[in-house]
Amino acid sequence: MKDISNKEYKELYEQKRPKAKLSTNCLKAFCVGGLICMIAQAFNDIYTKVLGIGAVNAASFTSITMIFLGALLTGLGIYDDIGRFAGGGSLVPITGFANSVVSPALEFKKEGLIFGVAAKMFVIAGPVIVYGLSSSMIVGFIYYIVRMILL
Amino acid sequence: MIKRGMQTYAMEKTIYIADTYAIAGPKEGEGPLGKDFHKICVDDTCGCGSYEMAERQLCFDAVQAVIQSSQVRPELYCGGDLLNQIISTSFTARQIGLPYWGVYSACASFGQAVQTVATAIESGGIQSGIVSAVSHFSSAERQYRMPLEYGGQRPDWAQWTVTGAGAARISTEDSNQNGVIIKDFTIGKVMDLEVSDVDNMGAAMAPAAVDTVLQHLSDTGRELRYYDMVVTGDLAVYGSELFVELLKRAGIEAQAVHRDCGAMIYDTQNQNVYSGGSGAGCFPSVFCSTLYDKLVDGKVERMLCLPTGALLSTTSSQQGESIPCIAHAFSLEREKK
Repeated sequence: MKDISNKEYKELYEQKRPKAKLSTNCLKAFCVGGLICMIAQAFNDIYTKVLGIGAVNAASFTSITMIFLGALLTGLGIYDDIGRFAGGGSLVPITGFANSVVSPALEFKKEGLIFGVAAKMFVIAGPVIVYGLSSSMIVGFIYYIVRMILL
Repeated sequence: MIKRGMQTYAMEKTIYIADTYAIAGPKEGEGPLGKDFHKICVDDTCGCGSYEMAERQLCFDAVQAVIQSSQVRPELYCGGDLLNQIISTSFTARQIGLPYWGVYSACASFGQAVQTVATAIESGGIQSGIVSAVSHFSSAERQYRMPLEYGGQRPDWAQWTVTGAGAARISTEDSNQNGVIIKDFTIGKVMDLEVSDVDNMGAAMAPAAVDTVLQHLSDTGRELRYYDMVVTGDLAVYGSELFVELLKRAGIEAQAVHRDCGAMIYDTQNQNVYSGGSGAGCFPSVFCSTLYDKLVDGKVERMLCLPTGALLSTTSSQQGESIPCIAHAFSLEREKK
């Protein structure tokens, strides 16, 4: 096995590797992601137009509803199938965030409520929260400085 | 035991694989080899409270079956699995109460166990021993990847961990007159061609399998066509292509005799398993059923077995290390009557 270099082997296995179906994957993600947002919009419309809740509160209620649905579908064992089909389409919306918190919480129940559920709950979502907050702080700071200079 | 070449050892005694037992999970049971397994679990928890306990149950059931089929009590138990600190095998050993050697070569653990017990028998220390290896899809996912219900995507070249176990009784007595003998074995070397994609185990492991085959042939002076069947552990469909291609580059045509347990155990077109099966239970569950039956029935006279293993951990891969791999070979022949 000395007659093939690591670089040659990399070329070989990348060439033999099944090609990622980029266009179909994008289409699936677009359709499912769009569908999830459409459902959320429908809830938003119901909250504002039918129930007469104000726009700000309706937006919060919509998020809560979608998070609940994401968590419910995770618990029923459906969300992972949607995720496998849709990829980014079901990962990016807030339902995907709910899935990423509920799935480890379910999984690590056997290790107990403290070292299992509570400790592992944010194992996937944790980094998203940390870097989401950090980057929004940085953007906020830049915004603050720019405003100060321009005004 | 006589040393041949650099890494191969030929048996001086007649050592039989006297009996085998294979258990598989429901998904494996629905696959093309479903009818061959001795037992198929109705649900993947095996009635246990956790997937780790279910994995242990699979291991225990397989080991217990080959112990019970023996007239004399085996003197050694040797096996391995994928869970941290090989708990499935060690906890099985706790239950059966035989002298125990735990081994770890990831998915090649079964190969290492066979070599260990064969060596112990050759030494004159024992007459018979049990080997096993096991894996479970859900416990492996939990340890190596994402929670089961997490809605992520994996690439088409990823593999599906087999829920299954296989156990075999290796002995100087062929109590069932099955006539399957261990001829020699080749201890593998760790190979690493710097594949670091943890979803691409087939590509990581194929060079290790090729290296062991080439060493085995060089040590024994045999040609590959000496064997009716060359079986790799869990390269799956796409890793098998690389295995055949690498051997072709070394001037050896392997396509006709090569089979891979990871590609055999599932219907890779229809079972949603990406490139095929993997896991420490992949090789033993197929070997202890389908492949052993072929040897016993005389459909295959000579077989070279090559369980393959990826010796990474989640820590090593998170720290950016590539995947070192190994393949341990043992050759089996039908006894000449």
